[in-house]
Amino acid sequence: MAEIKPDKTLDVRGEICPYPDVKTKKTLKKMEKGQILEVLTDYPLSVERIPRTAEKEKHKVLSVEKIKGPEHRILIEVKGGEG
Amino acid sequence: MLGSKRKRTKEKIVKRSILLVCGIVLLALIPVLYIAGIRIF
Amino acid sequence: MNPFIFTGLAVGFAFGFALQRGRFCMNSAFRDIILMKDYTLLKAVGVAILVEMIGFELLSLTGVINLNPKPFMWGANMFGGFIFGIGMVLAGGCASGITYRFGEGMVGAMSAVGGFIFAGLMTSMGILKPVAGFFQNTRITQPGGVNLTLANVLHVPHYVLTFSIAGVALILWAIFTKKVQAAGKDRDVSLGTKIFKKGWGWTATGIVIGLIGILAFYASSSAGRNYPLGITGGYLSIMKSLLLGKNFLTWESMEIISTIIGAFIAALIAGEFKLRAPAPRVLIQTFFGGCLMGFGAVCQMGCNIGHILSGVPQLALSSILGGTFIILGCWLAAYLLFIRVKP
Repeated sequence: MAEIKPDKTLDVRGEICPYPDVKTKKTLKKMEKGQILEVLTDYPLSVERIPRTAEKEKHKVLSVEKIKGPEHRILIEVKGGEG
Repeated sequence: MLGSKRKRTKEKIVKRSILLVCGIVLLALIPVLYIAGIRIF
Repeated sequence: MNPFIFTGLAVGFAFGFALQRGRFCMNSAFRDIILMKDYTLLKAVGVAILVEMIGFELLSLTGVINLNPKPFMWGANMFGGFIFGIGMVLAGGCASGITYRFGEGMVGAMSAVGGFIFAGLMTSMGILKPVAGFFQNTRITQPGGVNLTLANVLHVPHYVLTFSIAGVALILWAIFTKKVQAAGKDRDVSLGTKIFKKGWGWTATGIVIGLIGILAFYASSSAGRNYPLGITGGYLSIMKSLLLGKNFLTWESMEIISTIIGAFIAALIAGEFKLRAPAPRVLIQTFFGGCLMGFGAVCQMGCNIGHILSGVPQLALSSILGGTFIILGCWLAAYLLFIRVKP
């Protein structure tokens, strides 16, 4: 897969529930359609929940990959699931 | 791809049937136990 | 000493393992309803309660256990529950949530547990004891001291209520069940990977935890403690032994220790263990949240596990009321903290 360069990176590693999700949601809202957000989180529940809730908001989850241990990188295309 | 969709529909039917049977069995147990005289509160 | 006490180790381990694999946290379950309109964990909680409702009833009807609802104390259930609910939002997790995340290496959870124990002890035997006592002075029982359940309040046999609620719930579930499995790519994953490496889905989580709860009731009653899963009692019993030299070999203390270990092992195997800490400001917040939880739990004689997971399936009125107010406290705190737009 070609290297996708994110427009913005949100590093919420170390954050407690539900800050990874809340901050992701806020950041996505402030971005433009088509932009890519990279979320770095080490909270397992958020690794599963962020993609779930992002897709409900019509964003497109491009990938969820494990970095090391509980750390994951989630790539989301803003409003990519629309139209 | 069509095969996996058919498999998922079949699994859905199995899941629905199991849930339905369990639910009906439980409801049926109520009169059975009542007639058997069990009145524990 | 009753040898059945050691069954607490096995049950606790399974519980902790399942909590971590299923990300089972009631704080998230209730808070996510209003914060993200996500119902995944709520469904897991619902399934667990449903499974236990049936299981406890069957155990009771066959004489294996005696149902043992906690005493109804409307003041304590409402106030303690509400404070607990607020606390869990600040702590970032419910009692089981902070426990399993302790095992995952989250220092924020450890801080919350610290607060929980600190205030819990204050309420159990310290300066907060009279405060709790004030709210607990609202106890209502059936004649003869029998604790209130929906069944004895409505004068209906217990099994009539549980089986009708559970039966209807199962039928509704059958009617409204949507998808069975995730998208195609998940089907090639081995069962071992699904159990140990990936998070569990809500149905499996709910069923497993429900079954563990049923096992807990049986095992614990054999050890002389007639109640299913609990968290608060375990923490307090260990601390009292450490601080007061009391005997800490109770079923609950065995259970809580191995719950943390079970969660730790589960996280380790899944590669999800890591010692990680939030900002110091957050650690203070979670400690304070833990304190509120500790007070609330001791005040109403049960945390979210003791009441919502273990009490509601028994139709305990205390747990139904207490559980409701835990949810209300949670919603208020979540609204003030996360939803209300700050200028």
